[in-house]
Amino acid sequence: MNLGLEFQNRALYAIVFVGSFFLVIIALGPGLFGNPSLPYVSFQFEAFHFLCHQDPLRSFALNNSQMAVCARCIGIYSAFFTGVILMPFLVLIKKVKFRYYFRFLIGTIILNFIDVLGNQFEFWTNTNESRFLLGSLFGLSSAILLSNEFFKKLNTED
Amino acid sequence: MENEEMKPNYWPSVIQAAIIVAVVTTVVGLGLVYYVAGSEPSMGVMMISGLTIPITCLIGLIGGILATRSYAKAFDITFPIGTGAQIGLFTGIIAAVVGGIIGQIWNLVDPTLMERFADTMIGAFEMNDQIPESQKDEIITSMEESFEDQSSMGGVLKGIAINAGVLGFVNLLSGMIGAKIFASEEE
Repeated sequence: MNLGLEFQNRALYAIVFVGSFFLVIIALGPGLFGNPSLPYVSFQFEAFHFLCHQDPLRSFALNNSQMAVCARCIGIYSAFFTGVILMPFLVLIKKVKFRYYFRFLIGTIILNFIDVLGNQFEFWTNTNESRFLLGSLFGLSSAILLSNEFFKKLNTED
Repeated sequence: MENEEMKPNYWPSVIQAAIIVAVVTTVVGLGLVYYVAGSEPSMGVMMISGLTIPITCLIGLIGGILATRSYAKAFDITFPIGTGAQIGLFTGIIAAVVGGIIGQIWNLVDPTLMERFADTMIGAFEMNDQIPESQKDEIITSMEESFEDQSSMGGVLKGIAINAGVLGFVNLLSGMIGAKIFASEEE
């Protein structure tokens, strides 16, 4: 069956897909397994201590247990995984040049940076929901930047 | 294609980026541990938001970007995202190992640091009256065991292995992005 897509770098896509899935599972923290725990004493927190400040005030909780990463980071990882799933559909819908994806990525980085600075200098107060949303935009833009490397729309005019 | 056939050595870029990531993340991590260890036990200590600047978030992720950028610029070459993924993966794994070694060396410099840190964390938890006593005892015992386990050789190696897995994977992702940005041919 020809879906009008060429699937390339398959092994790498499989690694990214499976790895991103487990990254999200670990990032959800010990609460996912109904195990209330505190920072620094579960492997999930240890796994992310190089990557996230793990501030309890800036993190969501699952089953009354703090997630292993902050709201912005869980947004990044979950949206990245969503982006990996959506890659073939995005390519099917429309072929977009790399430079536009790149601009989208840079735009989301700038947005996150402005949000952090605005909050830090008390121009506004961001919330876990707003951090999650902006983190998600960054995660999604990172995934779709790579979409053309894994999927190519075939020329069906022939 | 000619560029890919030459395949210059990417290890100097990998090691350079890994060391930068390991040093920055370990210094930030140690700063946090000193802050907690030097504080009075309270739930406020555990809510370390005053110290944790949001910019520390994701420092560990930039290794793949730094390494691929350095490799592409040093040799003025293009390479596929698979090579970027490899470079990022190795950068993350080496950063985790180097970070673990720096942490162990620091334990020799200040052998009581982790003990003070554990005492403050457990003390803060003991003062939390929102958790029922029965559950509290169970969790405190589990915390004490975890801290003990983390300071043993097996615990240290387990920590390095977990960090190597996660840092390796996220840097594999950032390595692919780095390759796409700095080393792909114009579309």
